[in-house]
Amino acid sequence: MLESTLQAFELLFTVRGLLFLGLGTVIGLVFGVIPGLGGTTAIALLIPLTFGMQPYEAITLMGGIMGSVSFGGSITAILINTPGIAPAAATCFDGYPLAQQGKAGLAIGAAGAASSLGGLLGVVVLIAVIPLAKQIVLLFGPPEFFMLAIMGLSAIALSTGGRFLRGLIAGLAGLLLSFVGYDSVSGGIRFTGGIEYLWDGIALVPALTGLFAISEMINLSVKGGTVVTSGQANVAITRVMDGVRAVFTHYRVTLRGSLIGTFIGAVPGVGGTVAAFLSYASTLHADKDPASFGKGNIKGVIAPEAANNAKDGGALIPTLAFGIPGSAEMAIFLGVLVLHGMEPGPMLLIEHQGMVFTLILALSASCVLATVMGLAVTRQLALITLVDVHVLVPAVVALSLVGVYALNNNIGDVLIAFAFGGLGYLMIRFQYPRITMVIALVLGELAERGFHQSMMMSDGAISVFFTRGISAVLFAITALILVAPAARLLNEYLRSRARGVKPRAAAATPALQGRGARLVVPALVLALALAMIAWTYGHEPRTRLVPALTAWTLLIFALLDLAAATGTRPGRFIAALFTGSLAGPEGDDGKPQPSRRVLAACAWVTGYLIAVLLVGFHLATPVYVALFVITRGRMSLRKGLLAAAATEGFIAVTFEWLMQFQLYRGLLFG
Amino acid sequence: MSGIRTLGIVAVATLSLSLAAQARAAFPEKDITIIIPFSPGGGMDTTPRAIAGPMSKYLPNNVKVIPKNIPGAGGRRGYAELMRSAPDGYTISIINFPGAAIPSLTGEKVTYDINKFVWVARLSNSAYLIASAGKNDAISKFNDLKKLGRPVKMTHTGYGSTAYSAAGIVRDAMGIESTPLTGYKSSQEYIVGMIRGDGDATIAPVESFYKFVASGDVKALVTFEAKSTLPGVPTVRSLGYEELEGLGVDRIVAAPPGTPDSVRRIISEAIMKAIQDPEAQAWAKKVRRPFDPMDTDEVTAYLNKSIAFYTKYKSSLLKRD
Repeated sequence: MLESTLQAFELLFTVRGLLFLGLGTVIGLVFGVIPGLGGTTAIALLIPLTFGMQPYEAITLMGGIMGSVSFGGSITAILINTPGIAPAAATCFDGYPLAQQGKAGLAIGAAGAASSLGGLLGVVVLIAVIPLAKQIVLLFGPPEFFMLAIMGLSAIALSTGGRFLRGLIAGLAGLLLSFVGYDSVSGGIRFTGGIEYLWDGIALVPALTGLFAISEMINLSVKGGTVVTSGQANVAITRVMDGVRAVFTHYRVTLRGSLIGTFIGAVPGVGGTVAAFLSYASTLHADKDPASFGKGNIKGVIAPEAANNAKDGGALIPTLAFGIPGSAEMAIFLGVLVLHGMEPGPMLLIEHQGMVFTLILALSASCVLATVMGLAVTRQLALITLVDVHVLVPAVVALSLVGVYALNNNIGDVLIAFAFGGLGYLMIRFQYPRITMVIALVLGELAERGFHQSMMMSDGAISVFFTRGISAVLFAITALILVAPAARLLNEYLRSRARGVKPRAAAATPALQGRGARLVVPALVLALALAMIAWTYGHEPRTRLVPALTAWTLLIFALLDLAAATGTRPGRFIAALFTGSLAGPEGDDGKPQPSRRVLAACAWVTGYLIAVLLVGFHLATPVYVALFVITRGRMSLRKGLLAAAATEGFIAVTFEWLMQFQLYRGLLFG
Repeated sequence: MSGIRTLGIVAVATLSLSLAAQARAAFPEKDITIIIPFSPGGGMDTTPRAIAGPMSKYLPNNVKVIPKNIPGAGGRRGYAELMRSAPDGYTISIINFPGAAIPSLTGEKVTYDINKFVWVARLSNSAYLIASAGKNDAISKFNDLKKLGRPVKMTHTGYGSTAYSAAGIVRDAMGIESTPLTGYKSSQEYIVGMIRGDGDATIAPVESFYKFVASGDVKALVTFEAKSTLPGVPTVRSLGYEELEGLGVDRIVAAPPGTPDSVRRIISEAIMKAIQDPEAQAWAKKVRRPFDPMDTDEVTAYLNKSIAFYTKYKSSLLKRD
């Protein structure tokens, strides 16, 4: 082991080694910062280019990307409330409020330091458990995966703040969406409506890009102005070092986040979004002052950031032990190994120890390098928050759709991102937390598969979940997670009753006035639940069981939500029962949004999409950006052309020239 | 860059002035896409990728062969895409056989017709092997599978997959009753599932097991190869099931229905040469996935025979719980 470590050091600290590390880190940061692009896309696009490289060069490049991409994603999350990559979603909760208060430097400093430290801790844990990696991986079978998924899902209950009911509804709807496509357990195809694209299910990256980036851009363009609302003339990126120090002051938060991240990272198919969210939720609940979260608590930045980067070390555990990828990036990285003649599996660590340590070393070096690089350009990046949103919006929309297309070379992915963009905007406006839908989308398949496989293992005995040690422990934790806040809510309600305080009314839905309009969205959710229940009956029992159960549960909560929205006496009771005082991240400013502006914002995105479908990205993008800047932003022709040239230039250089990737050319020219 | 390429193409065109060469240079004029109906990383992905590069050397006009993954629904999405593609030779696909044939044999409605595909070449064949976990003392040799006193639990990707179907044939031809444990993402995953103890045994291509046998995590019970590549492991023939010899997965290159004869021959020839290319051979040696090539005529005859075999065992392929 020592010999391979030394060998890895020797390989990395050569001119070429450092060059590839630096290149990987820069690519990772850029792909992290831009919504819609991410580590998976970067690695996938670079695979063909690694043909001509030495294996260790390719591995150093990939390690550089994996180590840096999450910090890149967090910068965007903090500055414009849009995660650059999905795992940074939890960073928005407290990072963005800090940016709005003019403390972006503090937040980014903390995010950077927490990322570095988390990444390093993840790697330390990895190296410590490598000798035991196989045994650890074998401890987790289908019952444990099921319980882990349920634990993750139940954490939804922790952090939906005042919108507990709507958090559950968004989660259940997310579960239903995760069931779309081919069910490999039963061999049945569900809820595709005959659309072949959907056989492979709803692709995660496009869906998350839509939910987080596109929706936020619609929201921003309706609002107008700049990101920084408090009217400061310049964003002072100061106190970066204070942020770094905070990570050490709150070392417990950092440590807990890193451990959660490593652990969740090691579970195949769960990934960074859930890890960061769980870390955030558990920090919030362990804190003496949970109400301060969601309003710019620095601990709310440190927790998800530490977890987010630590997960890469964790994801390497199953990858190295058995060749089972622990994350989406790892899955594609395995393809790189195979191309270079190294077969992933239990022999990898024995036959190619030097390569493995090169990767580990590159990963850890990149975590630190990314932070240094990121902090060096933070001041420049922060200027984004002063840019008129009418320049920001078309650029981000275009770049994220391009990125979504580049991942799988599939225009269907772009349509999914668009659809989820609309859905995400509705969720922002009507206060259904998007994060719970995302957690459910990620975990739904794992939960269902784990359940069916456990049943097949035990010949149908449900006891399999409680007789296995780890599964039983996970069940106990889940029960605690669910019971604790419920007890707290009930207690609070009873106490407020005893004091004679009237239960708070359900939060008014700002966009629409009047009782009739308020009922529209809950009624739509109810209709969706009914439709899904009906739809499940077309399938055989095993294909149907879990989706049907989910749809019926959704029906119950949709009825409660509808009742709460009526504002009648029982409605107010339901609303009060499900409205806790727990912190509520992902708030909406509550200002009314005139429907004319909303329709216009949606029409622009739709117009761009249609143009892309017809004439391809290269023609549609500059025209869309220029027109948007000039007409919506009422800026000069020169500014419009400049924005268009910058956006299209970046797309053309990055994809067509550097990555040798051909973007969609449109129906008319394809 | 494109200027240099244009120059190159012009140079090639000038050099090939003979009539015969001109007639052949008509195809291909542009890059060829090879659909991979599976996710990156497995044998169905890496095998075509390994020859895609060298193929360019042996195709007229030195056009490139570009792999494109269209994963989903056990390959059905990719096959449907091939079915729809223009029969001009610019879109071909790697096919998992018998994987692609099973759905229609079992009566599933599919949006492609395997009998209409044009067979271009076979890249390789992986015979199956049945294995149990290294630590499982109850199952150490093939006959132990019959002595469990209950059906053997076999881990699989899912109904309709080749391993699932093979388990059905094994049941009917070898008398091994089994219940499936489905839902794993890849052979890698279901082998690890079996090692973990989710199930008792599993069936997968021999190559997938090498590394697990080397690490001691897996015991090989019987191989469907003609000659065992793992020392001491009995072949199906030696156990008296010679009809099952060669049961496994073929990696076949197919073209859309109606692809002209001249076109499939040009591609087939390029594939045959690419397989012999030192680059491809070096790769095959390194990852222990040897090629077992057949040209377009050989593979067409071979598949006619294979389809007849699976049609005979049609009822074995059906869904079971």
